[in-house]
Amino acid sequence: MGSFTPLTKERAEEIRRAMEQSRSEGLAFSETGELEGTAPVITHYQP
Amino acid sequence: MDSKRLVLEHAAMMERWSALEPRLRSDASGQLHWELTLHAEGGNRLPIKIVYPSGYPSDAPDIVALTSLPSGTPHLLPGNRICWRHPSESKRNRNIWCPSKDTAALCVGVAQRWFYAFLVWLSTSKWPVPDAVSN
Repeated sequence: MGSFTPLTKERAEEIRRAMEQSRSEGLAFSETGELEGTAPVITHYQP
Repeated sequence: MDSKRLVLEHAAMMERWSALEPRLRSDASGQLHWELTLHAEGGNRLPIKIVYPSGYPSDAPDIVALTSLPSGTPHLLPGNRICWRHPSESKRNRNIWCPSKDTAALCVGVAQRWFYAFLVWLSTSKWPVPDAVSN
């Protein structure tokens, strides 16, 4: 079983809000994948 | 997958996600997949692989978690595959695979989003957004 550390309730709520907002907004991830919040609107194939 | 597409796939993945050190591998049958580990706060890590199906790019890649997840984890398909696509819904502006535009690099962002949703669920027992079809 993978070992995971739960988030604080406050941080979980912040992330939930960011995800709800991203549903003109998208989630913004750093180059290493950490969630940085939302940003105004993730690599496409161009033949 | 033709060689031109493979080169573009590799370039797209390394341009966006090189910090995660993605590795392109081939299994015994010659099926290609990417392996990498997602990072999230709290030291949380999720190793995944992004598998190119034989029908690629018409068929979207599968995103597979490489560690066992808690019983009852939502939005997880058999084989530890992350549920992320809405193949029957043409009006959504995400979670639709576009063979002519998308690459496996898209799947890393999708997997990151799923991982954060999973951590919220782990912490609150509620999946944060109804973004995927529950199984």
